[in-house]
Amino acid sequence: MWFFNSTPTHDERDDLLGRPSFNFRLQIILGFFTFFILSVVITIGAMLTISRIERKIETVSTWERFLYNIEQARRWEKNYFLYGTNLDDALESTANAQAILNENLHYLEQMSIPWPKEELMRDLALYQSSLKMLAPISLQEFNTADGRMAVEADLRRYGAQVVTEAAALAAKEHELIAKWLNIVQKVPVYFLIFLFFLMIYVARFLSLRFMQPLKQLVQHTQRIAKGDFTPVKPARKYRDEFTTVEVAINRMLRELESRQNSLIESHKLRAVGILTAGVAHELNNPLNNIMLSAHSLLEEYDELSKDEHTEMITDIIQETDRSRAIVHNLLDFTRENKSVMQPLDLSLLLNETAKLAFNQARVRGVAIQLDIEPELPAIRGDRQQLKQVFLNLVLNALDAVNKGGRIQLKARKQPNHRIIVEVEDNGCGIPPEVLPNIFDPFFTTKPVGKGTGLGLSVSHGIISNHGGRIEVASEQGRYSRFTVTLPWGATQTAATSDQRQPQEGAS
Amino acid sequence: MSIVAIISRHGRESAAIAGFTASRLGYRLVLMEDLVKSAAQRFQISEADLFRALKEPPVLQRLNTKPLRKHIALLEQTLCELMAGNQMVFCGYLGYPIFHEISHVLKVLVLAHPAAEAHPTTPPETTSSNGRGQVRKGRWFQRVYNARLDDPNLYDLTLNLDHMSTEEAADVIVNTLGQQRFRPMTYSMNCMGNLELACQVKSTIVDQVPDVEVKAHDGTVYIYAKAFKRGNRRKALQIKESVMHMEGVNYVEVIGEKELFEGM
Amino acid sequence: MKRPTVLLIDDEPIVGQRLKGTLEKLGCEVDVFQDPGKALDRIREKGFDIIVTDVMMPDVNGIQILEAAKAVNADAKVIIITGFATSDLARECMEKGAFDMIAKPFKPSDLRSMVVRAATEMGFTDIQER
Repeated sequence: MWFFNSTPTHDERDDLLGRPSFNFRLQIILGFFTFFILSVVITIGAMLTISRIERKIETVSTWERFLYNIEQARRWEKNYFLYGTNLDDALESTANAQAILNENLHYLEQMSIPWPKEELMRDLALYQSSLKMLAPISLQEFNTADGRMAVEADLRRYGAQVVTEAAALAAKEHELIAKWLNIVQKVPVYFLIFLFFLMIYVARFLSLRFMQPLKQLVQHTQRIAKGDFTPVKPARKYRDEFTTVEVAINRMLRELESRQNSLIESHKLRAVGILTAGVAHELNNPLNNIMLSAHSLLEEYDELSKDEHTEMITDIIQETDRSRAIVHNLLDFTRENKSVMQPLDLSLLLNETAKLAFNQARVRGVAIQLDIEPELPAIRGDRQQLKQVFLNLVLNALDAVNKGGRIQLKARKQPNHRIIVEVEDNGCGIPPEVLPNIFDPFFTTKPVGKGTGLGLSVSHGIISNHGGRIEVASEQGRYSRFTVTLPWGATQTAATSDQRQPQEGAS
Repeated sequence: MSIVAIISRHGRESAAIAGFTASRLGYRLVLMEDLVKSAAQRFQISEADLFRALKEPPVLQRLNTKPLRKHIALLEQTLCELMAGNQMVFCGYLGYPIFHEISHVLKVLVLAHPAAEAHPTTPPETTSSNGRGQVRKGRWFQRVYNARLDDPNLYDLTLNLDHMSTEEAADVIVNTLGQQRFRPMTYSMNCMGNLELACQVKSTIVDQVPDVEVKAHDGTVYIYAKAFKRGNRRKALQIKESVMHMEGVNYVEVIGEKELFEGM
Repeated sequence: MKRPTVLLIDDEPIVGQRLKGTLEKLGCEVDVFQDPGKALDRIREKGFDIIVTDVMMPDVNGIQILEAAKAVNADAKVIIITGFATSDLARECMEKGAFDMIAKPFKPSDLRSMVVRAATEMGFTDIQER
């Protein structure tokens, strides 16, 4: 058996397993994790924004309280100027404003939008001091005093400034709050839209990741069903759950291949068994020649001339060589050989095949005619396996013809880089109803015990592996013709991949 | 000139046919008893031992089958030696593979319906012992030759005593033997010589290698035994040595297992 | 004294070369053919006493030679030499009237003794092994 094929070749496994692992579980987990992180980011963002808005609102209310107090002070101030009352109240309100500012100074510095702290403080202080300047002066004297005008102008100016600044600040903060609220409102909508597209993308990505290897597996099984046992090669960058399936398929392929090989091997032995009759005759002839020559020498040594001695001894040597060649030819066919694709001279191969079957045909009284086009281009293939295919076809033909029958073995070049080999016999033919099944395993028309029914299916497998086709045409009672088409040259490598379409049935 | 081998489970009837045939042809008659007798004389062993070998087939389960095998080999050797003179009618159930290889042996199977045994004139106890004997012979044949005694494919002629008398059966045999195809020739005589040598070798070495098969061809002896398959080089050499010196042996080939093209 | 005529047919030339002399020494008149077709014509032309023929030959096989020889001269002694001897072939040849058959490889003396026996049976008295 050709165990070399079934011994675990670790390369293909390593090819598959050597890739970095990136399995689907991880991919799914990663996808969901991304969603989760995104949601967390959004939630935290929203929370932060809301707490900031809350604080902003506080700031705004501080400013508003400040503004209120200032405005209150201004009103008291106005009353003072109109009625000479409420100066204390104005001072109190200013102090309140000052207190609010002082209390929240740190907080405001941090939280508020940039504000003209010094100016505001200065203006407030100036305002306050202006107010304080009024206190010692009685209203009456104040009304008349010249200084009153100046103080009043200062008060008005500083007061107005503080009010304007505070109001601007409050308004600005309000504006900011509105802006942030707007953001807080809009972000979830954008997030939803983003999420929608992200989900579509992730779904597409994952399903593609699932579908692609599944599709590949389907392709592999179809290819295997056609008898192509080349191992599955890594098609994706990463290792995933399908890798285990692929490794299992490769293991199965090795198993199938070794089965196929042992099938081929056992078939070969069967063919050899059939050939023994021919070989016995073929080998006994030179042996007889040796025996006769040796005995003649022994009996008539003294009567014979020296030249005759030489002649007989030369005969013995030549016939020994001939015996060796016969044994070699058979051995060559039987030897368990590594399957090697090598350039082959098809006409030589067909001649050797015919030689193997020739004596068997002679025993059966059947003529084998060779019609091989000269200078056939070399093809790439496994010599033993191809020999077996053609031998099998010839032996089948031999079974189909009667005494005096004829088997033709033809080979010719075709356009489009193909060589056609035909094995035609003028025997009993193949009934049309069995013609389509003829390449199926275990299909046989021979009586139980005579044929295993594996010959043609094995042949079909071998030819498929060579990127070729095998077809049959037959007319019952007249002829059967098996046509093997093999690629050669440049098309051969391309053809090995287009071997998926075996053409069975009548052509 | 030829040989008739009548093989049957039915000892009495076939012996009768063999007797008629032999007297009609003027051939020597050899029954199983005669074979045992000459073997006993030739090899100086007791007839009882030889009869035992014909009754109990050597099966693997049973211990000490060596003497049985040896005795069968000796009987076959004796049969070959008796056949060498041709003009013989043999009747029994031994030696089927020997007859099979020789073209000038007319191989006859004699069948009889059980009714023939249960003839009113035969006492019942004889019938039953005969019945047992028939089964035993069939089993013996199966065990020793791994074939069905009653398989018509093994024979040239099958005679059914339900449809003819023993005399008529003998007539048929004599007529059939008149055909040219059963004439001996150099080739078949050589085959016989080869078989005789093979039997001789086998009976010599069967003590040492019980499960052995021997073929011979013009002085070249092929010894097939699983025992030689591995490790037993010395034993194989020993066997080779002992066979080498036998008369008529030119060359000995000891082969681990009988398989065509093994090791090629 | 009339000498027995022997026809030797084998597609192997050495067979003829080695056996012609040894048979002639017995006192036979020997014709050797490698082409069985031509041998067949020769048999029809001139009946031989003894015919030695191979079985498996291109175009015409030994059985056909045997049948033709027996048709021409029913008393002719046909000796079959074959590289593929079987019990069935032996019986077929004998049934078709062959005198004897031997498997290849054989010794010249084997054939000589067969030819001597055949010649003696045909009434040639002075054919003897040395």
